[in-house]
Amino acid sequence: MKKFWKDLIRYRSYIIYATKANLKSEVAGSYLNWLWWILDPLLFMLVYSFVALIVFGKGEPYFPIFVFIGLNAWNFFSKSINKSVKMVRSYKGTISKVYIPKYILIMIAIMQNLFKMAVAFTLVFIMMPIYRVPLSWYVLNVAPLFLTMIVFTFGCCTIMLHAGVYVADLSNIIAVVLRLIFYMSGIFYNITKRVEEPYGSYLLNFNPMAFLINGLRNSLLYSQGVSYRMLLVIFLIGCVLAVIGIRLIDRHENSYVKVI
Amino acid sequence: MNAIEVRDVHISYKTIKAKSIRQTLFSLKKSTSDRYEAVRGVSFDIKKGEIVGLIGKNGSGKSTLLRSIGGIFSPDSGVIDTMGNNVSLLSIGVGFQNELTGRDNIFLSGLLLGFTKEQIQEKYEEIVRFSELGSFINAPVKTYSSGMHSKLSFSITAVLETDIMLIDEVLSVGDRKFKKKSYAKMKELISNEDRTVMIVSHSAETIKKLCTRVIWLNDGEIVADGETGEVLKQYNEYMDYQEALMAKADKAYWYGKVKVKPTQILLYPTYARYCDDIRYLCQYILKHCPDWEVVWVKHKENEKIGISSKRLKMVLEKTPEYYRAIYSSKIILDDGMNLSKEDIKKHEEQKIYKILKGALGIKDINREAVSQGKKNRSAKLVDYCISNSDFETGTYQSSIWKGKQVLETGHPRNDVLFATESMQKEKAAKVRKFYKIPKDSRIALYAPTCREKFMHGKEWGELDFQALREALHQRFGGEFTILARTHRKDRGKWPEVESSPEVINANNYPELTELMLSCDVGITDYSSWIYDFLLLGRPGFLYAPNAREYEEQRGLCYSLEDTPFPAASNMAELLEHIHGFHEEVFKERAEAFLKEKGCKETGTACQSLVEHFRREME
Repeated sequence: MKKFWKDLIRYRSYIIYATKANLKSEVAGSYLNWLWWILDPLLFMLVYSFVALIVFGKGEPYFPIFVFIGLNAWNFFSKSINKSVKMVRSYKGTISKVYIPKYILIMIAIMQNLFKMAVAFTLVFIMMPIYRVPLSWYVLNVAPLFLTMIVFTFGCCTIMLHAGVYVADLSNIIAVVLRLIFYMSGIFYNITKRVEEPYGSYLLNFNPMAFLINGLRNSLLYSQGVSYRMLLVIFLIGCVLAVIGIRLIDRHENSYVKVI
Repeated sequence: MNAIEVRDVHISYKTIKAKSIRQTLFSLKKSTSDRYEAVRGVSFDIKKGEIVGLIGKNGSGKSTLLRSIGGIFSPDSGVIDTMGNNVSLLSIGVGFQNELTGRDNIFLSGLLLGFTKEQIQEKYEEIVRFSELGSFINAPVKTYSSGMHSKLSFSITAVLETDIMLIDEVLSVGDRKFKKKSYAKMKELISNEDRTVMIVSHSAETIKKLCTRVIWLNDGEIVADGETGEVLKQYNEYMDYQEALMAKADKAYWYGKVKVKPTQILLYPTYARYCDDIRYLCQYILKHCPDWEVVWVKHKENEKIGISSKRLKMVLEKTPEYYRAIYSSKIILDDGMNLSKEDIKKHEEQKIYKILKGALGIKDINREAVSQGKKNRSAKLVDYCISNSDFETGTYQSSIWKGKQVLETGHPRNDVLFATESMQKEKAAKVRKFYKIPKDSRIALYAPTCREKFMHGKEWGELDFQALREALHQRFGGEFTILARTHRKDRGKWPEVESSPEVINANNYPELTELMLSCDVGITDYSSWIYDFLLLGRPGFLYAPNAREYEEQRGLCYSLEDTPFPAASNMAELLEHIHGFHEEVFKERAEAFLKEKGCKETGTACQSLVEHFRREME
């Protein structure tokens, strides 16, 4: 673990530069540039709004913002995971030429997705006054919620990166699993209201993403509190996953190059 | 002071191959402990400022060792200490992130090599300049050619100047200019006494020039470690020995291993570009025999033969596939003595066909310089000789192939001389287009035979293409363009002909047959192509200033006077013959000549041969 913190400091300028460069290359060559980071969740919001409001006829107060928050948080998580599974393979060129601690690559991916989420979230803050959402002190809960989400995502990513090296077609399975979790996280519906008990509480208590997204919505839209105890549990789970993952990577990263 | 210390290093690749989920779930055996040890207990010290070469055959662990020193993977046991120096590894392949621009990749690589952003910024301009990438530096690396790739990666490592440079077979990057430049840069870097360099290369030349010390690895162990010349000598001896061993083993091995495939045919041309017979036959087979497997022997890895077909399998001479193809082909067609280069046994059911290039030619093939061993082997191997006339059949009967069955099918290369006019015109137009010869210009082809030891002789000096063109113009009308083509073995040795401003040098045109179709008049000395050209009925002349000497030393089958062509022994005579050329007389003589030699060419050689092959296959 000591090596992890040392590497983090040593490679910080690499992480920052690589994040910037990746973000830049992502938008280079598309007409609307970074606007896509907002447009993408926005358009999907319209799709899910159509499904929820027109097909099922089940809306929520401030429904567009409700969906938008869910989508942004979900995108951050799923894109980071997806990238991690294929990480070592996609960086093959670099890592077979020069040593780089592999969790640094995860940091880059997370920073990148975090930045995109931040851009998209500005829209949330623009939409809130338009929809006349009442503000409360609960908004401050957003900070620990995001922090927990980042730590939890990082933890999952480290494990996925390691597993992705040895299981060649893991990314196919992960795509399916992520889709399942997507539907279980209440991105476009309200778990508490729409899923019958006890299943609703199961989902909220055993699916960290559902809990975190629900927490974000409660804080931003509905002036409700968050279970700090649950939040702490998820944070700790994230930490444990991260420690396990970092250890795994540390021990095995020298043979990654031999495998791919 | 040491810069690198390597102590008893072992590196192995376990078969931790990436598995699919199915394999992970259903493989019963937990771990098949297939361990491949690439580096086995290697120890050495490298002093600061030393330039060390690392040699060894493929798979001897050189790159693995280098990568370990570069920190890309740590050894399974043993210690590698680079004393806190920053190390850069330069090797073939990408090393870049393809989506990002060259600029970003420079910075990212630099940061990973342990430089700060400011340091890189300082050197940035120099890197770009050295890499010669210009404005491409702002384009994503995925748009680069492989040469640009390598140039950039070389420039980064070369300009950023790490303490220890590990170079894996990359000094042969880019075009000649860049190669020179990178070589010079390398020398400059090396001259810095603080820099330590390790070079992996298969080029003895590079190692010799750059390194002061060489380590030779074989199967992961150090065989020798010492002064460059000494170790290289040992290594070369070893490699020669291995090669000899391998070639022998392969031959015998495949003979017993493979079975003859009844529909496989092997085409074995002497040259890739001058093999009309085999080329036309190959095209015919590909077109008309869809179920045959066709194998073509090439002499160089990247040889172009001008036939593109997925069905055509190419094998490189002296490789295992080559031997395999030789022993498994039902039919083998050889247009020289290619098959007899080495001692090859054949299976009884294999049939070997032999084509002569000379045909009706005047040169005595029995006096060609071929080693006795080759002759004996060829005499033993060949089953059928392909002939186009009574004369050629006679040639076979008086040669080492005496007693072999002769097939008088004609030569595949001459089929096109009997083809429809439109097809011939098409081929001729190809030549005109290739050499940008205007439509209204007429063409004469001057293509003498190989001069061999008849290189001297001032007679050749009086060749006057200007006068020749004038004479052709006066006799046949129209402006003449002269195509000059020297024998393959004379290429580049005959500037009077090859670079005369009066002619177009036609040496680079792949096939003579097409050149023949394009020209109105042919001129040679003793070359046999003119007797193929005769089939077209177009005027031909002989210009043979050294006829007597040639006849004595090289041997002619019949005298120059017996050919249908007016033969000249000097330039004035040649011009005279052209002026006095009488078409009717020539036609009469040509007919008489072909009749006398018993010419059997009817333009159906490919067809008849393929029918014969087919009968053999059944």
